Amino acid sequence: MLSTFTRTLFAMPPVAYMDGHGLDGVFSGHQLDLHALHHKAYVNKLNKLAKQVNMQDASVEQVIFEAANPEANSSLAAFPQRKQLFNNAAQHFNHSFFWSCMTRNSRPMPPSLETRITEEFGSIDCFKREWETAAMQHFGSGWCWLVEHEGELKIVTTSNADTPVATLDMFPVLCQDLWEHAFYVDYENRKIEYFKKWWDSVDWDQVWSNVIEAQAKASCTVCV
Amino acid sequence: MVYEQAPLPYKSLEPHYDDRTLDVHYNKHHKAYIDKVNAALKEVGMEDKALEYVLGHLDEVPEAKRQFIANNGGGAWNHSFFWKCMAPESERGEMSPELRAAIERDFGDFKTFMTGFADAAATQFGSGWAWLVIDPATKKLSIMKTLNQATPINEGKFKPLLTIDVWEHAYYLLHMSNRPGWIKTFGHNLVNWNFVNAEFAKFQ
Repeated sequence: MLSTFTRTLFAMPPVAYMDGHGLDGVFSGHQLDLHALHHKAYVNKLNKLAKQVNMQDASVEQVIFEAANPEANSSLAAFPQRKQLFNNAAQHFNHSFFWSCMTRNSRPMPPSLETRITEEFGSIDCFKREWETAAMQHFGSGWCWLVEHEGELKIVTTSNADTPVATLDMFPVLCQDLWEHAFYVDYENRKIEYFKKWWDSVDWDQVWSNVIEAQAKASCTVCV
Repeated sequence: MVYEQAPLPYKSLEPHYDDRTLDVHYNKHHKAYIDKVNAALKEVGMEDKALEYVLGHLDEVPEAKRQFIANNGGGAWNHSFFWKCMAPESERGEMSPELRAAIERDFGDFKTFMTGFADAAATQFGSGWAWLVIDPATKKLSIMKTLNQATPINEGKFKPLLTIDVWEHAYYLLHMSNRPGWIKTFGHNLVNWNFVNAEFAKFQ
């Protein structure tokens, strides 16, 4: 008798504020609906490609890391669509993380996060201006990240699908989608408006939770 | 010399290209590249050089401004070329017999060429362009794709004959996530064959 087993499929996580009503004046319902289509397309392609290399049961982080670091998986190194696998896996992760960083009726920054950001950037305002500058100066598609790296919080941007989880020592705590599809319906070319308005939707409680988790992972790397 | 933004060769490309995108794309995106590259060239004392020359000789640009000038100069040049690659339906003309012969020689047939061009446009991940180019030395036609605002003239070897903008801002308001839909509309309803024929003829 053949044993049955469950295939795990990658899937876009449920997002509470994707109910057609938009997100606090930051994104319209229509913009979010369209953005969900992009995420679902990445997930569909990821599922097809992951099956081809028997990674359908792996975590998305594992797929990303091994697709980006072929020495970690020799059969993946020879896969002709390794780059496409990376792109779709990374975009699935990046978008899932992005949705998780936002919320309706977001609350003020928890004091612990405020302290940490002030220590690293001088003030909350300085942090936001530095983020907006990095985002404005990034050329082409990509993402803006706040990462925990070597004991510090840093703002970095990545191109296209590139993501901190492809590394061993950069842990994301906040991200913003800079691809034009993320904002074009609501903001057209007015990127700075998007960057300034976006703060209204950030889930700072989640960000602080990400910082704690990142610190735990960072201190664990030596154990790997 | 200041790199000028030439007026659009048409008032509208409706219904195949929406007026709102044409407005924002030309007056905001393209204009911003033009303004930025002109300012940057002046800053590095290269404002006397033609933009095409600069883009083909980026190693002559001081390193601190090189990527900025490559990005914005590429954006300025690519868009100027792109507007000429499109025309209102009644003004598009048809592929010339000479160009058709070259396409059949180098791609097998027109359909194979269009499929290859569409594939390049669809698979340029992130932002960029797809191109039909000619190598003036061999007269061979080929298809290229470039990332962000890179352009075939960066390498100096290939000369563009046709391009499609696949940055999302080029098509998102009308086509949204459907990049293949944009590519199909471009190929079937927008390509200005009169222009492509004339560019091709320059190298015969």
